[in-house]
Amino acid sequence: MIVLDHVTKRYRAHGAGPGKLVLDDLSAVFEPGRTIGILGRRGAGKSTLIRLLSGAMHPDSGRIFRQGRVSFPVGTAGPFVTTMTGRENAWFVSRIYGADPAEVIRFVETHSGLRRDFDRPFSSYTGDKRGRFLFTIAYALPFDIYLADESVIGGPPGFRDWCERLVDARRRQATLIFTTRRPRLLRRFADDAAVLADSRLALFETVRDAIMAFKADEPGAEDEPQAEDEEVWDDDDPLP
Amino acid sequence: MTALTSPRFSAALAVQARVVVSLMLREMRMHTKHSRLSYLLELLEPILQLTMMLAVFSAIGRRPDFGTSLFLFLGTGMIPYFTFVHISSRAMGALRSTSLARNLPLVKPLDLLLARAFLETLQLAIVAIVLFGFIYFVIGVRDARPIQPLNAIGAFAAAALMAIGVGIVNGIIGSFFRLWAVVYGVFARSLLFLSAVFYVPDFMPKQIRDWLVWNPVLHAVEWFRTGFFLTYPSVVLDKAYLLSWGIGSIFLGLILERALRRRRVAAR
Repeated sequence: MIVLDHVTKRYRAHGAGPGKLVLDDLSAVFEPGRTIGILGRRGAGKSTLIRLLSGAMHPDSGRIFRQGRVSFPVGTAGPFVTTMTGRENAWFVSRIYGADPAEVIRFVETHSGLRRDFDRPFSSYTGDKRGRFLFTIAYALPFDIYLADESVIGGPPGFRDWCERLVDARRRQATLIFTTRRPRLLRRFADDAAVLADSRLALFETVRDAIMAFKADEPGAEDEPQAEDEEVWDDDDPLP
Repeated sequence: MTALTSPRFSAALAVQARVVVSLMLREMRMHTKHSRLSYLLELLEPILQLTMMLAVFSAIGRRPDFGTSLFLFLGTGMIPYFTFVHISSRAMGALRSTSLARNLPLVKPLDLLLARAFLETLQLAIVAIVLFGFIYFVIGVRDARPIQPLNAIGAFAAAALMAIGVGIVNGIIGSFFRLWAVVYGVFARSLLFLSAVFYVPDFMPKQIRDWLVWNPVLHAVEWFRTGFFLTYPSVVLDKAYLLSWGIGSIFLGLILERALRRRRVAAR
């Protein structure tokens, strides 16, 4: 469970001026065991919200209560040392989070399909291999709350199907909170939905309502060219 | 909302201990990754520097100010000095390099600092044992086995304690002023001359001694030497002064860290 209590975040302007208000007096309760999808346009503060939830950033005012082990944002390479091998990285991250390293390593070894690359430095991984490693390790760790900023699943196409099933398996026991600007991702995973716009978070009864409100805000938004996020997601990629 | 109380102190402490130990192991692994030889040289740096100094002093025909062995006299001065300088400057670097703390929210900047500081302390303890073992067994100086081991250990611990405190304060200053590392580096090097590494303060003229005693590292060296030499003249030694520096700097560092946390994050 994560509770936001009147959270405000403002980015300081370079030079004079009041800066940009990213989140304005946000209050919300994320119930345990639910999957919450948060829709927001580019620059709406999605990444800021995830970083606040994860604890990597502090709010300017207000408080954030967390109960349970909270993940680092799924699919990010930040926690891993480029000079160490996949196996060593897995070992250290498991240790830090108090998981059983042997078990996590066995899981990643069996399911990531990295084979011999698991013992090569992380910096040598190609895009596909990185995706395989990053998503397997994130879901291999026994978190109570998984956070994802746009990238709930990833990796090469064949791997992605398995990754989806893995996410579904984790959702049964744990909480998943993700932000995205793709309504499709919400339809696939979310139990609850919210829209982040104009520095405020609006919660909706159903996922459909949230998507309708999101689209009504700017018609045809889903068709906008999205050249920047070729990294993990391809919009033409059909989701079941 | 009652379920969302703060975790118990013991549980939080267990998490912190786990994180710090993991970070220490990780740090060690990252050091050895590049080359084992460079890690070994880094470990032996105090010994190399001591050898250089010894060579220079022998060349100019210098006698030890106290005891019979120049090697042991300089060694007992170098170890506390190095403990302080190494830990305080390495800890500063840990608090400034915050990418890991940003990417793994469980890891706080202070954990990185403590991991680095404990690892350095451990390494320097090993270096000290190797050094005095070498002087004892190879050079054959019987005094190299501390006659009052508790004094030597206490002085070493006090130097490490103060180094951690000064390291935290340095790290905070360093995250606002990048140049602080350079400034502190110059300062730390000049401490070599002010910390009684190659002289005995009690033998110095009074007007110089009255200034020198303000340097806490000097007291660590004095205290350390009383562990090795039974008759070492230590009129100036003030253990309380050294320990106050240690505890004071840790308090100041932690207060600054907490008070300036948000601004520090913004300043990155």
